[in-house]
Amino acid sequence: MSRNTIDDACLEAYQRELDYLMRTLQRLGVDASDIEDLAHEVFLVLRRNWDEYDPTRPLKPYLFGIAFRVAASHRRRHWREVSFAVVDGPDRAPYPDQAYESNQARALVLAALQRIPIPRRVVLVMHDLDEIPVQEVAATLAIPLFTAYSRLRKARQEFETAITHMQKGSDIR
Amino acid sequence: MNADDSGRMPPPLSPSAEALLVHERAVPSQPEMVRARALARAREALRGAPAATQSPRVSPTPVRWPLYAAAAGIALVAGVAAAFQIVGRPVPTPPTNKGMSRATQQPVPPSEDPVPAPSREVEPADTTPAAAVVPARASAPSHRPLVAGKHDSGMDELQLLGRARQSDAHGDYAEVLAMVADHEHRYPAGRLSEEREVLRVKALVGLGRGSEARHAAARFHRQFPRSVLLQKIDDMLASLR
Repeated sequence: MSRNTIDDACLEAYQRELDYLMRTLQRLGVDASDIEDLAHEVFLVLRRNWDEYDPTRPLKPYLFGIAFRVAASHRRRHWREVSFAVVDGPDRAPYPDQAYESNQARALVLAALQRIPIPRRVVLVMHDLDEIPVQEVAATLAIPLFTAYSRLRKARQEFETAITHMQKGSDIR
Repeated sequence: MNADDSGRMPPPLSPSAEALLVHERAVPSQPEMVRARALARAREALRGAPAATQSPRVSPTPVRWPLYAAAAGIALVAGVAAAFQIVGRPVPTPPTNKGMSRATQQPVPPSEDPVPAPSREVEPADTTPAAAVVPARASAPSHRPLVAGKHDSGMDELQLLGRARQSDAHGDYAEVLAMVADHEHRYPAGRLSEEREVLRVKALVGLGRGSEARHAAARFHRQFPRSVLLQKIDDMLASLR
């Protein structure tokens, strides 16, 4: 495959999954001001490893794996607490076609996700939001299947607890 | 999922939590400007990549140096041979011939010089593409990993156009044009030049400078024939009519 063909294929995939990628980075706790930079970093990694990607398999789990590692690397470099003022703020994207309730629900979910430690949050996001089978989650994250199930169980409990607390209004600043 | 897996599957979320997740499962679209910026940046990186990996600018380095080294080696050999000739000439006795024959065998050690020379020069050629195509993950600037030599301008460039967009949002098109001109002056081949030109057209349309807007739009079509923003440009022009 020629270089231009690979470039085009990679760019086309990036364009197709850009919304998903940026939302995934947000779910992984990346600060809004860093999302574009990290999305670009994911693109560069995707391009570099495009030869290794099996096009017969879905792209999203593969992309998620890259995004997860890029976000983790970014977090190690620029670790800081994610304030709820940021997480709970209105999404920058306009959603003229979405109900106010839907935006509220999204904000609540994002805020609750921030309460879950990353190793478990990743499993929850991949399985319960992206609807990726647990086996594939385990393979993408290079963890044992049993560990994936265990993290999912714990993450769901933490998510429920966070939602309950925030709906009561006790934890929302 | 097999039976064993279903046995391991944790209990499902409560209906209220599940209802919240349903909203989040539908991935919202990013603003068009954000998408355009991200795609322009990606394209810029792809354009920049060959310069680091296949550009003829890189290849001369390993090609030229061996030539220089070989030339230097030849010159050295010739110099040594000439020296032996000069030293050997005043002595017309048989030992002179031995000296000359020794001199003709001298090239062996100097000729080894050119060999390590290119291998030394290969190093920068190998590292340059890696640095420009994909950032080293552990290196700090990897979140701004574009073309080498431009990494400092990214944030400033973004901020400048961000201010231009704010002015655009306030309808201050004259200010937008001033910032666009400033951007063009500072970053003539900037990674956001595509977005800058869209702002220019928009501002010109906003100011009612139709012919200039059409001229700028035509230039945009020539410069970015595959741009995702072409439709937007055309829509802007349509609003002039």
